[in-house]
Amino acid sequence: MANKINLNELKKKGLNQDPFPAPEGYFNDFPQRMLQQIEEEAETEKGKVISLSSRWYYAAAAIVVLVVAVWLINPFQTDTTPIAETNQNEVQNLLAEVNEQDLIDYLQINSADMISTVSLTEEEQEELLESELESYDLPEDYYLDTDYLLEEYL
Amino acid sequence: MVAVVSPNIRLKDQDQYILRRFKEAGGQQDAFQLLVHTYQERMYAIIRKMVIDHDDADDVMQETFVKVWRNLGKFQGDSQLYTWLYRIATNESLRFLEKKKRRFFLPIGDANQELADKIDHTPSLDGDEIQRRLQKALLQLPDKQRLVFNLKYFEDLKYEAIAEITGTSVGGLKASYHLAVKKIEAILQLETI
Repeated sequence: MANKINLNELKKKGLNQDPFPAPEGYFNDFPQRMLQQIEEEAETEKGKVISLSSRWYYAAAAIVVLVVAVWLINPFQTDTTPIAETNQNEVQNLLAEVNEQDLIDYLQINSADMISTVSLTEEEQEELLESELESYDLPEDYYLDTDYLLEEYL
Repeated sequence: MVAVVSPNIRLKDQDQYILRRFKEAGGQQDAFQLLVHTYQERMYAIIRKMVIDHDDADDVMQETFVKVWRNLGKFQGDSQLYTWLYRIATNESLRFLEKKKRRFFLPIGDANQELADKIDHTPSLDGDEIQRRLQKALLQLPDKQRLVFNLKYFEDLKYEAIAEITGTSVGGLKASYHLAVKKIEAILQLETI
């Protein structure tokens, strides 16, 4: 019969030595590469701000269109009077307030290729989204797998 | 140019120096480079053990230190600098693994198989069969539990520090680590029969 495996014993024999050492020279170059990267990041910061405002611009346009759509459909209205008779003028006024460019932009981001519209690569978009949502608070599910614990104990 | 710090200055003092220097006008890059020099090996070790592949580890390293750069000014010193760094590095590693699974719509089994293949093709494990088996067995743990195991077994961190890094209770960590050890031992034992 094989000897019983004991991780603590194996640790004493050196099993906890670094199993994946970095390639030779990696740590000599890395600080310099990082410095270059943060310098580049500072350079592109302006570009990012523009992109960010574009995103908010689209979001604002989308909200305006949504408000108008809700107004038209009006799911909360209980009386059955046709919209045309009750608030047509108001709807027209609201639509008139929506900037034509906002509507074009809204349609573009909903029907056209997002990448070409905002001139960002997929990776850049992902990074941008992440940086907007960034938080160092770990997600709520960042806790031990309690189901697993229960399974083991019960 | 990296600021020269006497080697006998304790790490805590060096952390204080980095934080102070970072807040000084014109001192940010010096401070950042010193921080990278000081912590890059520890950060790489934990990241690499989670993502397995060197190129992936390099990506996560960069993500980690970019975030450190962006947020170091906001670091309040409520925790020790190294636990804050570990927290970012481990969070980034877990996020990387999640993102990878999502991006390729890989079931967990497939994602783990990909990592297992990478372990098989890691030259540093050639001739170290028990380590290779251990690393492959670890892939059978949930990523967060594998992280806890790595922080304790390989990095030898205290439970209190791991609790700070992972935002988990010490009691929960002890249970998780104990169960992980038992599970890994059972897997390895089964393979030897």
